Amino acid sequence: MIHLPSKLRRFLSTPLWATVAPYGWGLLFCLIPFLIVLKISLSELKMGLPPYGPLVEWVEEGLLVIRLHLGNYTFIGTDSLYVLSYLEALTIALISTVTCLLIGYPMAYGLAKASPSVRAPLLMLVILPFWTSFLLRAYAWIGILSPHGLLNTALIKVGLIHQPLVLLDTHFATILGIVYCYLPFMILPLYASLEKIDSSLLEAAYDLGARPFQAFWQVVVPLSLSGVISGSLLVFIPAAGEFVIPELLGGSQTFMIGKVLWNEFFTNRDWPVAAALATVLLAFLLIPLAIFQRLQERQVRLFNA
Amino acid sequence: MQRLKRRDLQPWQDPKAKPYIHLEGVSKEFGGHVVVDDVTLSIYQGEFFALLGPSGCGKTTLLRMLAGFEAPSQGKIYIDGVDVTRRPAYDRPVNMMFQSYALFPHMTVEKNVAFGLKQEGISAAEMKERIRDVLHLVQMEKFRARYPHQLSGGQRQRVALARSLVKRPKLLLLDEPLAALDKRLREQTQFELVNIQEEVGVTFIMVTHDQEEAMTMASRLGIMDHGRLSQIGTPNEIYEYPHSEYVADFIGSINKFEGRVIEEDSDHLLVESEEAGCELYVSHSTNAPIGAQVKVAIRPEKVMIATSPPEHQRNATKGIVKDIGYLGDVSIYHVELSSGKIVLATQPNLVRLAERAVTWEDEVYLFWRAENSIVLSS
Repeated sequence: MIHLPSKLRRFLSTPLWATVAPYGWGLLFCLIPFLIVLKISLSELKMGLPPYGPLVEWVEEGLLVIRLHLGNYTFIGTDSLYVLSYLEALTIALISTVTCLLIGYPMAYGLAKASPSVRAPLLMLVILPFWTSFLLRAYAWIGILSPHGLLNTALIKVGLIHQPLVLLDTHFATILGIVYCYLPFMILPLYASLEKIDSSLLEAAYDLGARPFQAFWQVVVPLSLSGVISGSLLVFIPAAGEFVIPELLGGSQTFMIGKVLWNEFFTNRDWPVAAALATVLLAFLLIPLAIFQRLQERQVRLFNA
Repeated sequence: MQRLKRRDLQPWQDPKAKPYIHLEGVSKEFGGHVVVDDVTLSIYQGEFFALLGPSGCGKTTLLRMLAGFEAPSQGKIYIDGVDVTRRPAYDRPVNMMFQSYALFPHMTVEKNVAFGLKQEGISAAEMKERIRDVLHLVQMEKFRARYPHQLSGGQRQRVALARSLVKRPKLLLLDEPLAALDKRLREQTQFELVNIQEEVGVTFIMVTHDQEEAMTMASRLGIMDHGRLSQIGTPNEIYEYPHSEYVADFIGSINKFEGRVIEEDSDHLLVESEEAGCELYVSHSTNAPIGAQVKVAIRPEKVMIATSPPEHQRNATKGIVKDIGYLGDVSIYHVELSSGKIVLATQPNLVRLAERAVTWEDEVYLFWRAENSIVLSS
């Protein structure tokens, strides 16, 4: 055994360490990077390295000048491209989230109701796609959706269509890709919350005269709300900022904010505007997070008191 | 509502009485394993019936078939003359109080109670009145706005009872209704449940593994063993006249002597028993022929202890006191006979411990009255 100094040992054994650790992690990898982005978003575009000006500057005669360029934000507001990209990103993320919920809920319910022996392999199947690279899985859809891809070829062979359908480079393809890639993130929290529901509650509902759908709607759905919310957030938040899927499947007409952001950073090299875009996106995503937090607290109160 | 009193209610004695709940040859198999085996049972209106047995005897499965959660593999279930065997749970005039109470955690007490009425689609005014009445009945009016997690175990039990009673079922099923409560509360609640049952007049069927609970609360008991009903009777009948060794052992403790029938008549049976060290005279008839091996049983509290020999020779033996269990109100004497058999005899502690006549290693005489012993079938 390694012999640690007693002071360090005491610190490591206190529960305080357990609370400090996640906060430290959040501070180091979330808050500090965000503050850097925020700082860049308030600075001036400059040619050179780094491609932005300083925020705080010493001028002669001991004058400290803090320059906040709010211009980057007003610029985002005035250019309709950015506004539309935000709206498109939020709309696509919303449609994808609802689709994931509609597909994921029955699957999670089935999982929760399955006998324990079947449950493990089924859960395995839900997680299995993670074993392949995310990029590869998104890329594979090009082969399925392209004009001479698997789907069109099959439909023509069967005789359902004569001309290939335009599937790739559409919003449909983007939503399909997002739903496909993020579905497990919906299923797993839903499963976790559905599995916790005592089956005697459902029986009590039947016993009191509720038909199966009524019992499901009045008992199962409200009790799985925390799963619905966390699953939806796990899909909505990354989907809203998604870059890879719209880039690969959405084509040139899909302007999701993630793509625009990438262009600002790497094509235009306008870091301040890109940083401002990222900050505004974060602000949009904080709203559902706050709502989630409130609802989650309520659920915890109901179950764990 | 007319209040039914326990002592007035003995419909099973009346050959003309029509059973209210009737099970006809009900069986249930799970994957080839028979859990409930050919149960035929009649329960009358207003009864408090208890199904008693160890865990795994099929009593809960039987209850779940009455509720409609399980379908019988064979047999039929009638409630008030209607065949409900294939009816789903939501379409039966039956309600159940679950062992875990199964209160909806996201609803207040009032909403929990209202749940069943909402499904019926009755008017808001009537609903309000019925909820108020039933919460008054279980003394939970003050807690109507609370959530289940804000209630104690006993309060949850009352809400669960109110929630199932508010539907005015023809039959209320109770699955181990008191198992989740601590001992003191359980004893108090036993009588309360019986009072409520008498007040509302609903037929109750309770499942329990606790014999004391069943004896205290039920008008009749059904003892279950491996899916079969071994015996049905009032608590008194079951205790005093168990038909089988299983029932005798399950309810209370009992002394058993093996022996051979040497005399048989319409009003008595004489059994020769080496184990008991005397002839056993049983003053009621059985079908055992002369020469048959039988077991004669006697409850410990019916065995008397004396330091001098009794006048009669039959139903009297002697032994050495090996152990005395002091329980405060009574003492249990463990007396070893010359055959090596240990006989239990319970005596009330009429005098203080230090003053009593019989103590360890004393030679004592044991005897009992002929009408108190019974012959068991194995």
